[in-house]
Amino acid sequence: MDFGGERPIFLQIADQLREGILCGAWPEESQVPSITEYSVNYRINPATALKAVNLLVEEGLLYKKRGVGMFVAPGARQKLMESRRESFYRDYVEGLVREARNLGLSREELAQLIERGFEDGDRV
Amino acid sequence: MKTKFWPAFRWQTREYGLGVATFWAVMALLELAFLTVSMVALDRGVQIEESSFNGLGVMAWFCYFVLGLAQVRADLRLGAQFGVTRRTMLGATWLAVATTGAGLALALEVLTALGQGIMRDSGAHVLDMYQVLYLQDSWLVLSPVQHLASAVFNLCGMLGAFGAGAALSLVLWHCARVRWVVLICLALPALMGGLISLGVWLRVDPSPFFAWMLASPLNGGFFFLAAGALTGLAGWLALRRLNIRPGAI
Amino acid sequence: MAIEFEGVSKRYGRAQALKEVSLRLEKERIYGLLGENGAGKSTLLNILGGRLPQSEGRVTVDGAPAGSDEAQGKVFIVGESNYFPEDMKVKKAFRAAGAFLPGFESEKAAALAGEFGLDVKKRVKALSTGYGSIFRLILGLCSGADYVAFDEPVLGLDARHRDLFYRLLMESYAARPHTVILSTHLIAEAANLLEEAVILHRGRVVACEPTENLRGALCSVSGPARLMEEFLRDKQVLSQRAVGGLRTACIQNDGKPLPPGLERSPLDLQEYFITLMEEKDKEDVG
Repeated sequence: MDFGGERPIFLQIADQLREGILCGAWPEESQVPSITEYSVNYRINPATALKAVNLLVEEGLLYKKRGVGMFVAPGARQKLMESRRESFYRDYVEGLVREARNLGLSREELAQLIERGFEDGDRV
Repeated sequence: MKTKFWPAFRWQTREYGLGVATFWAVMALLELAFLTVSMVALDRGVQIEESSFNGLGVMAWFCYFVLGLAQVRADLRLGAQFGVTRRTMLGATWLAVATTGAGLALALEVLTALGQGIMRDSGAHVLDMYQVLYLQDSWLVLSPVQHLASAVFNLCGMLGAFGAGAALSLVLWHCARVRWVVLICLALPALMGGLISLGVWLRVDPSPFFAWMLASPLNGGFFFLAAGALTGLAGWLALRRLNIRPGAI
Repeated sequence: MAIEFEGVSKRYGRAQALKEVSLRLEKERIYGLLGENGAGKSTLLNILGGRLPQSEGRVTVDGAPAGSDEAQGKVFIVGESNYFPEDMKVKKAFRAAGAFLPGFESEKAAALAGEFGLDVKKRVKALSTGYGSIFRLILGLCSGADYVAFDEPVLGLDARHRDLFYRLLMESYAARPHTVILSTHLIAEAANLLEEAVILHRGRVVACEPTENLRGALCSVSGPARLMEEFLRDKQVLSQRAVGGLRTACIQNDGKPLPPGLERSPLDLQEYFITLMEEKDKEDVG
């Protein structure tokens, strides 16, 4: 994992955790890496990892089992899907349309590209 | 209050003990050489009138002077690295010096007694300061009590010498530049010479003092102990506001 | 329960190494002590370790004055300076550590020496720059003290050994929470390890904050020169760079939205440090 970017590290870790929950790498009720594992393996301050985990706890995606560690909360994946859908427009569509405009693509050309995207995806 | 006094004392006793043991071994070898040469000569019929091997005690005083001068800074640095305060390190060192010094004093008496026993009636003598100063007769072979007195006298000398060496080293440690050290090393003997000349000019008679020193080994021993106490105090005062600098010397 | 510096100054003759330094270093946190050469980092640590008396001010460790027996028992400092005797070998130094430091982990020290490839039979003074650093960082990692300071711990170490040190440091911190003070020039590498950074400039503390705050305090804005000129008109510019028609400037991050066409990115700790040093240098001159 490369921490070189601009995004604060704790947010990058939070992103990684959310991705993992979403794609099923960490199923519900499974244990996610401990704060110590994060700090030792990524050479970061435990407080940073703690901040990321606390963020997800606040979002209802993780919960703490005293003396054991952090676990994926039931319904976490569902929650994530819903919030992702809500922010889909803001996160992807706005930028997509802006860039298309920059490049001078018309509405129809953009729709064709999106169609192609689905077809390519189906083939794989 | 938790101090590291006893760990420091144990460490210092071992370190100084090893050094002092080496010193004793060298003295033993030198005395052995003296005894061997004398016995070979006697064997060949050579008449030995007055030859002597002496100064075991004085050499030990000098050894502790050099230890004070050369070792104290290294000890304080090591203490600084491992969280031993100056006060604790200096105190532990003094106690280690007293302990190893006592051991050395007794071990040197053993050498003296052996030498005297072997060379009895031969004209070749093993002597020490104590005998020379305080035993005018029957000085060639000492009784156990006299050996003990000699050991105590030597120990006082060692403590005084260590104090002087350490005080000098610690006072000079305040000098940040070489030229200050050189100046002090020139000034001290000059000052002493000046004081002596002044004394001569004022017709100060030092003989009562020397008479007192020679009157009894208790006086002589007390003088050295007092010197040790005063120089020890001077060393501590110099140490209190010192910047303990790393380095080799 | 903390280390406190109150108005601490240190003078050497006419030169002042530290000026009115006031700091609080809490228990069980990792601090970075950052500054240019000669900023006073080593002096600060040496005063903390009781090796130098301060000219003014108070330094306490959990309430006890620095240099007292109580304070000395809680603090362990490893730095470039050699406080070991000329002839002492690494093995003996470890033995001394075991004798004087109650919490010293001797087996761990021997194991780490093996892991780094440190020859314990060599004299401490005869070690190369890199192995001298390795020797010292092993002492620090195994000291068992409540407050451990590393002064330039990775001098002369190759990338693999540096990474190993950071890993071992985090393991040690996780296994036994204690305060770590990391004084280093390699800010970029160490930035992620630090919870708070103390920045010294010419003997004064110019910043003492969680690294999160420092990351956000300044930012770098870039865009076409014309737009930038307009944007920067009412702002204090800390530093600027121009490449072709693109200009980049470091300014205070006020969080307000940017005019279109301009991009903003936060400064990482090292960039922040460099910019801050330049700003402080200008202040001193002007």
